[in-house]
Order: sequence, then C-alpha cells, then structure tokens
Amino acid sequence: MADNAENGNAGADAGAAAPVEHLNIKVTDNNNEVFFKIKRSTKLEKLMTAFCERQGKTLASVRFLFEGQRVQPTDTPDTLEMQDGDCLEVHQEQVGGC
Amino acid sequence: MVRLRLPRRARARTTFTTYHNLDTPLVPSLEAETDLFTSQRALEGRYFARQLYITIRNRHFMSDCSCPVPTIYTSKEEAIISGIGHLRFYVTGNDPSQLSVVQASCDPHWHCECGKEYLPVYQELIRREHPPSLNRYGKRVAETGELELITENADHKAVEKVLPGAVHESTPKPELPTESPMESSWINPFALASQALTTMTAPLHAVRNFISGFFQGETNYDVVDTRKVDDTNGNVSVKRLKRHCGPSIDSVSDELPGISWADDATSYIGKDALAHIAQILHHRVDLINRSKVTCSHSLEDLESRFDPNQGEDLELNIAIHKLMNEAIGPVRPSDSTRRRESKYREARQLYRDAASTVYDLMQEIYTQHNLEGYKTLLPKPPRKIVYDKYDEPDEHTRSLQEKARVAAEFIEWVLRNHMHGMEGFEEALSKVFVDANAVHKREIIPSYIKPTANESSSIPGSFPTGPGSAFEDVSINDLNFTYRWEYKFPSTDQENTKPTPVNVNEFRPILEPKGILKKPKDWPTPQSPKYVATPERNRRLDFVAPVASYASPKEVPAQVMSLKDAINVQWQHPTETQHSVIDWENIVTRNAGQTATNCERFAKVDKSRSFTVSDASRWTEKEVERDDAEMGLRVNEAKYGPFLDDLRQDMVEKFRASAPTESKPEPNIKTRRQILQQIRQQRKQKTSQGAHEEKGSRLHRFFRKAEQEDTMATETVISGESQRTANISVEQVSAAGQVQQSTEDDDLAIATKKLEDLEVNRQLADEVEDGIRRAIEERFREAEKQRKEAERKRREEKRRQEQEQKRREEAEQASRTGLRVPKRPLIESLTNDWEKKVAGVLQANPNAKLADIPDGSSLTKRDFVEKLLEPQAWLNDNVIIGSISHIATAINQSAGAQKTDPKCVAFSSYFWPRLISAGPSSCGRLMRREGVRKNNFFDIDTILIPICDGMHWTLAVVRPGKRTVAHLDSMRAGAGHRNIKEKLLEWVKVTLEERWVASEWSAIDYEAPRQTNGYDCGVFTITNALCLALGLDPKKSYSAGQLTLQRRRLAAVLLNGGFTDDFSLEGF
Repeated sequence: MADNAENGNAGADAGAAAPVEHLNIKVTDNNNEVFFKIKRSTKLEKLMTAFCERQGKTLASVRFLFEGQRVQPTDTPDTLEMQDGDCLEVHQEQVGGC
Repeated sequence: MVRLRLPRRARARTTFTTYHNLDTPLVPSLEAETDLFTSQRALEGRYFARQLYITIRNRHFMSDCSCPVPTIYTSKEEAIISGIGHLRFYVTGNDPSQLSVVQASCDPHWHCECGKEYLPVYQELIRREHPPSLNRYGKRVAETGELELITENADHKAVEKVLPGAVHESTPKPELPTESPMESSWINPFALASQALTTMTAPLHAVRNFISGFFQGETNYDVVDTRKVDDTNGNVSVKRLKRHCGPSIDSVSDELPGISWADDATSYIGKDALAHIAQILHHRVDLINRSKVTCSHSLEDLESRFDPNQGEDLELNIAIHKLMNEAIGPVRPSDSTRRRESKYREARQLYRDAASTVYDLMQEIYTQHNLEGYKTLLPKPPRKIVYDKYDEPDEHTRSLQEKARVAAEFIEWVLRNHMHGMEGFEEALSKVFVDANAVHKREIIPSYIKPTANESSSIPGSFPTGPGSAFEDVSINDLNFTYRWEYKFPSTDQENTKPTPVNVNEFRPILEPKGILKKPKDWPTPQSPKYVATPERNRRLDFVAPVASYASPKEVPAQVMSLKDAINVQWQHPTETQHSVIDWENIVTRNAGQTATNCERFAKVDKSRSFTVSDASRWTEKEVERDDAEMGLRVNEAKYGPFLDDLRQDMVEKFRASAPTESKPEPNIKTRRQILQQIRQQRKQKTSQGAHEEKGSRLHRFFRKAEQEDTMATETVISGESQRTANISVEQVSAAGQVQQSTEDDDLAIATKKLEDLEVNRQLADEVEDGIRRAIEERFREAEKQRKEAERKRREEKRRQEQEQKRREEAEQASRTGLRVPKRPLIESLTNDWEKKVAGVLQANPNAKLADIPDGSSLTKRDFVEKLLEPQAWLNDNVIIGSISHIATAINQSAGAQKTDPKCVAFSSYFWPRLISAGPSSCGRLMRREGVRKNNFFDIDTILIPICDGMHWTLAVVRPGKRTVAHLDSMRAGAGHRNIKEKLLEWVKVTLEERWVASEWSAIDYEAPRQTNGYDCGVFTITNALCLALGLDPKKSYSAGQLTLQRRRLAAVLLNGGFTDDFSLEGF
C-alpha cells in the first residue's frame, strides 16, 4: 500500500540527510498535543496505544491520520516516510446515520 | 455563659435521611408592621392590599418562585389568628374589592418563603400602573378621596389635601390587632426540609391554618410529613405534633418568666419511664452487638422466620428493617447477596449507633450532677445558653450538640413511625426528644426547669401532658378548608363604580386537598376492541381504546387495499342522471350488481393483487406489502381474513339471488293459432266455472257458435283430441242448431270473433314489438361492445405512447447522466449459507479480526454488529471505506485496470476533511495512493468520495469521462449541496491544472431513493456508490425498503473480502 507513497517521495528523501534514527512525532487531536520519540522502524501501534491510554480513549473509536491517510497499527514511520517533526492527527471515528 | 461539662463519650452518626429544623416555636410579635409597610399602606389606601397581592401573585406566576400564593382570609381575625406568612390578606364583608392586608411579623422587604423580595416588584408595579401621574417624589398622584403624600417620610402631618372634593382625613392608622398578645400565629418549628413536604405545601398550609387557629395560645401544632391512608375507607390522615410555645420574642431579656430550676432532672419525665427506655435501648444495642438480629428482604419473611428461642427481638428486627427501607433503601430482588448483606449490615449499624447515642445522651442529661452545675452557674434559668463570643464551645460540647441532634432525629423517627416495643412510652420519648433538641439548639433543657409562680405557664418547646400524646392523627377530611378562597379580582377598569354585590359562590372553596394528597383519578386502562350496538347500525366494531390500526367492518373492503391501490380502482357509481325515469327495481338491481362487482373486485385485489396500477414502475408488490405492513393491515388481515372472505361471499350470493335470472324468455315464435288456443282455453275455463249462471245465456251461446265456426275455418289438421273436440263441437253445433238462431246472434258472433282477432293481433304485435326491442337491444349491445373495444384500443394506444414517451425520456436522461436500469435486481436476498455466516458474526470474538479492507484496516465484531448489522445502526468509517473500496476494486478488476490507472477510484472518508481543511493542493499523497494523477484523470470513469458531515454520510461523485461532478444526499433523494459540488469542481480544477476546461464541466444531480429514517444514510451512500460505479440509475436500481437486506449483504461482502464470487458485479 505504501508503494505509491514511496515512489512519490523517493526524490525528496534522496535529497535529505541520512535518516535520523529517532523521530520526534507530534500527535494531536485539536485539544491535546503529545510528542513521541520513536525509532523509524517501530510500529506505530505502540504510539497509538500510548496516546489512547493517555487520553482515556479506546483505539477502536479513534483514527490516526497522517496527511489524511489512515495510519494502520502495523505501519512504521519508515513505511509512511515520516520525517522528524511530522504530525499525526487524531480524529474521532466517523459515524453517520441521519 | 454556660458550659456543659459532660463525659466524652460521643459517638455520633449523621446519616439520617432527613434533617429537620428543630427550632422551638416562639410566639411572634404582633407589633411587627414595619414603617415601610405602614407608610405604603397609608399612601396606597384601599388599593394597597390589592396592589400588594397583585405583586405577590405576579411574582409567583412570572418568576421562578414556586412558593404558594398567600391565602386570603375571610376576616381579619382569621388572618391574624390562624393566618400564615408575614403578609396576610383578608376580605372585609365578603367584598373582594375590599381587600386588606396586615403584616404579622417584621420583615422589612416582604420576602416570600423562598427568600425573594416583594418590594422591588411592588414598586415596579406601582410605577407601571401610574406612569404619568407620579408626583415629584415618584409617588402616585392621589385620586379622589385620597391624600397625596408630599413628604417622603410619610408623616401624616405633611399630608395635605390636593383635590377639592376630597375629604380630609388623617392617615389611616395601621390596623393593629386588638387580640391578646398571647394569641400566637403559627411559626414553623419543623420547617421540614424534605422534598415530600415541599410538594405538600399547599394543603398543609391549610392544615396548619386550621390547627393553629384552634390551638393558638399555649399550644402549637405542627404537621409532620407522615400521612396515612386507611385502606378500608380511603381516608387520609396526617400526623401532627403539639408543643408549647416559648415566650414572645418581644421580651428582650434572656429570662424565662415564671420558670425556675427543677428539683430533679428526671422528675419531669419520670424515673421509671426513663429507666425503661434506657433499658430497652441498652438491650437492643446489646442484641445488635451480639448479632442476635435477623434481617430479611420483606417484613412477612421476617415475621414468619422469627424464632423466639433464638433470643432475638422481633420488634427490633422489624424496626431495623423499616429503618433500612427508609434510610438505606429496600432490598431489591436484583441485589446480589453481597449487596444485601451490606445493606443489612449498614441498617444494623445505623440503628445501633443511633440507639447508643440516645442511650449515651440520656445518661449524660438525666443526672443530678448536671442540673446542679447549671444551678450553681445561673440563678434563674436562661432562655438560651449563650456562649461568649471569645469562648467558643469546645470540641466536646460541639460533638455533644451533634450527638443530641442525631438522638433527636432518631427519637423523632421512632415516634413518627415505629414504636415497636416502646408502646406506652410515647410521652416520655417525646420529652426526651425535646430535651435532646434543646441540647442541640443550646437552649435550656425543659427537664431542668419547672413553672413556679404561675401554674399555667408552660415549658417552652415541651409537649403537653395528658392522654393525647405529642403526636396525634387527624383525618384530613375533618379539617375545614372552606375558608381558603381562590381570590378573584374585580376588574380594575370599574374601580370607581359601586361595588357589585358579591356572589360568594364565585369563590371556589378548595375542598379537596391538592398535590400528592389527592388521589389521582383512575386512568382508563386500554381494553380490547369489542362489539357495541349503536343506533345507526346493529353491529359495528367500536373501540374503547384508541387503536389506530383497526377499522369497522363497514370499511372492511377498503381495509385490505393499500391506499395507493384504492386510488387506482375505478369506482363505478350509478349516476342519477342516466336514470331520469325512475325505475326503482332496475336501480336496486343495478346497485346490487355494482356492490357485487365491487366485492369481486376487492376479493380479487385481496387474494391475488392482480389489479393493474396505472404506473407499474411506481409501486412494486413488495412495496405495497411493506406499506400494508406499516399500516398494520397485514395484522388485521390475518385476524379478520376469514371474516372478510365470508362477508364477501355473502354479498356475492345475495346479489346473485336478488338479480333477475333472465328478464325476458327467449322470443318463441308463436303462431296465431297457439295464441288463439290459449285465449280460448282461458275462456273455456271461465265458461266452465261460470257454467251455472251462464248456461243458456245468449252470450254463452254466441261464444260457442263463434268458437265452432272458427274451429272449422282454421283447424284443418287436427289431432285425435281435437277431433274429439270437433265432434263435441259438432254436437254442440247440432244442438245449437236446434235453437233458433237470430241474425242478432250472428252479428254478435262476428263481433266476438273480431274481438278475438283484435286480441290476437294485439298479442302478435306485442310479440313483434318484443322481437324488435330485443333486436335493438342486441344491436345496442353490439355497439356498446364495439365502443368499448375501441376505447380499450385507444387506451392501449395511449398507454403505449406514454410508455414510449417514458422510454424516450429515460433514454434521454440516460444519455445525459449516462445511467441505465440494471439488468437484474441489484439487491438480491442472500443465500442460506451467507445468512448463516452473517449471523455467525454475532457470536464472534470481540477482538478477532473478521475481515480486512483494502486500505489495510481490519474489521472487528464491533464494526459488524454495532456499526452495520443492527437494523438502526449508524455506519462507521470502516464499513463505508471498506465497502466503497471493495466496489472500486471489483470494477477495476473486471475492467482489467492496473492499480496505477484505475477505472474507478474510491477515496477514504478522510479525504474530504483533508480537502476542506488543508486545501486541494495538500491531497497529493492521498491521490497518489489511489493512482489519481493529472495525466490519467480523464481515463477514470468514476471517483467516489464518501463524506461524513455532521453525523450524516453522503457521497460525492466525479465522473471525469462525462465531465460531471455530483453530490448525492439520500435525505434529499439524491440531490446534492451546491457548496460541495463547488468544492469538487475546485479540486478537479487544481488537479487538472492546464487540462481544465471550465466549459466542459458541469455539476449535476442524480436521482436516488429518498431516505425517510434516521439511520440508513450510510447504506444509501454505499448503494448509491455501487450504482454509480456500475453506471446504473440509483432510483431504478433499488428502493429504500431493501436496505435492511442490503446491510446483511454488505456484511456478507465485507466478510467475503470484496464483490467476488457470489457477489460478483458482472451482469448488471
């Protein structure tokens, strides 16, 4: 799934400096901002769980978005090609009926 | 300053449910009218009371204050003696325009019970009522007969006559009561804070009025919030409490006149009684401490299980049970054993703590040592034990006060409800209660004092001695409420006219208590429908309960049709104009026929529903069924079906019986001869009948002769019988020949024959006429048939044309929107296997991943059950994104499109928020991910964008091939929102850059079924997406009623992992 993204960002990454081992990632849900420092190869599940625990939410009812794309628990900063200081947005689960 | 030195053995518990203000009642001052009140009354004169009353009433009715409106009493005496509140209104001389008011206690700003001030409202009212005529002091200008106030301090010397006709009079003196100062009014020693009493305020006020009116002077009554309903006669009684008043607050000194120290602390109550109470309490505490208490969920159980050999006390058990019900809450069947146990334990503890507190307090109070301490400190008993402000009560005293409060409440509870095991000690207990209360209030303990000089002066706060103990039950019916009127104001427009005589009946006495004391009327319970006879019809279905879905049998035929069908059935009413010549028989017949026709029609409609509706595409069979089900008709059909069939059968049979079998027999060709024979035979019969009279008569003979001649002339071939006849005739002729014949006879015979001819001719003509008429009718029928045929053809032609037109229109629309009708139903029912699989989701492990969706997320039981399968569930993003991306995948696969060059693109539902918040330029990542680029944009057939906006799912669709953008909102039957379409166009424009040609693109609306509920929009969105991805017209592909099935289908598709195999999208 991240193939396209990798292709698209390949040029940008090549120009950047050697990838940093640790990334600072901001997670925000409009009200709160939480900064996480994680390795590039760490699954984001860890981060998501930590954020949910901190905010008292269940993982099933929130959606993590990176530039509008839904972040899966199995994703890593590498697969999403995240860079230092990137921001994950936390949205409420969308429900609709009427 | 008195300090109680008592042993530190305080063990108080403060968990009683209600807290009562246990103030000792005091005789209020009657010299309490404030200057403001007096001056205002002087100023307003006779209007003052009215204005004030209006003020208060307005305050009550318009603001959030819920206090009762002040009572209006019938006389001043009543207002003063038995009135309540500090402002007491009364009417003088049964004339409501003569409303007066007294202020019975000192309250400068006229508060209502909840603490709201009346004064500002009153002043506002005065200002508003007389805006132009205020004098320079802002006061109302006096009217005729009134005095105007010119100085502000309301000094009557400063009042001058301003109007020539006015009578100069002195300022009315405040109407001071002339009653003796000991006439008390009711004050609120037990302002019960409990909610129950608040709601009972209105009736209880009346009770209070009554009670205090009777026992004013030395005793005060208080109604405590216990009311009993006698089951046998339904009488409601209230419990009231008698106490002696303390001296009036007017006496400033702290002394209690006529009271001195008692000799013995226990003499007032009685040593034996005290010892007995203490013993009971001690015993009970001991029992509880030794766990010799049984608790149960119900009183009956408690009593039945009681075993005296266990050493337990049933009374105690009952008391604890009641305390638990009141203070902790009853044991419910749903309570777990642990919860029950904790309730029991809590109740036991509560009772033990309270009882031991009372015991401790009694041990502390009723000792001579304490009384002696008091005596040495104070020569005369004080009203209150005042602490010096620099010498606050120490902790022990405070805890003692607290303990006293708990004890007082506990004793009050015992007195009020549950005297179990303490019968006969009410009086003593009441006195203990008062003492405990006094300790709590830092008042002088009534047991420590006694009246000295005057035997009649009673101990303040104490209960009267005597057989009627402190508490007594009074039936509410015995209380006289009649003096409480609802006041009706005379019109202010006519205030200068003479007071009209007042009809006392206009004032509605409030005889029944209001509020919760009043037993609610029995609500009518719904009953089943039953037959009742009505004057119009013998039997008619009538309903006691309003059951909307039933109808009477009269309308039964209509019942089995849906409304839509009923419109399309052509009713043929016999029109009066066609039968201008009234042929009643015909009309009746025809009407009967019509009824039968209708009956048959209904039977047909009901059984097979094979009727034709004018627009077949509008309602499908299923929809009709669903409508019927919604209207509850199916239910009735099942219930009344056989009955209706019978009714129908009856009517048809009745019609058949009443209708003439064949109006006219087939036209048999009758010869003249036959007619003739018929006539003659008739005549012959007649002749033989009248043979005696007519034999020998001339006429008879002539007839004979004519007959004979005729026979000879006409009958050439005759049968044996006719031969015999002929022979007879010959005989007759011969016999007649013997008779002399005259020419007259011949003439007569000829005449008779002619007559006969005429008769025959007439009958023949009739026959012919009949034949002609029949022929005409035949021809007419033929013509009618032809006409009908022609009409039918014309109608068919018209229908064909209409269909043609519709097809053309559809084709036109299809060419415009590029949508078509599906070749097979879009939403088909699931196979049994799939139904089972879908149902199996309900048993799934909540954490298991049941299905994966293309964007990498997994669906769990929560998504399936709570967010899709429950009939009214709102769909969540997982389901929407999963389903729509499955659609796109299926389309791309069947078209053989690569992932980089898709034919159908499904964006996630988070694409739209990103587009709105960050702008089109920042959606690059998402678009690349889906393979949408500038260069391949026009190769894409459909781009589906689900939008969740404010709890509502809608679908945005871009069809680059057609150069259209659209937005489908199921709530608006497919029509979209303009601003969304504008945003879409903007996004397309930004995406296409130089390939954008504004004139090519248009924003259109598709038609789709309309959502009529508050939960199906997600399913609509997915189904619309499916239709548009397949190029189908949503409106012609599915109906709103199919969406419950569609939920299961979608679940099956998600479980299946896409539109493959059983859910292939081929062939639509």
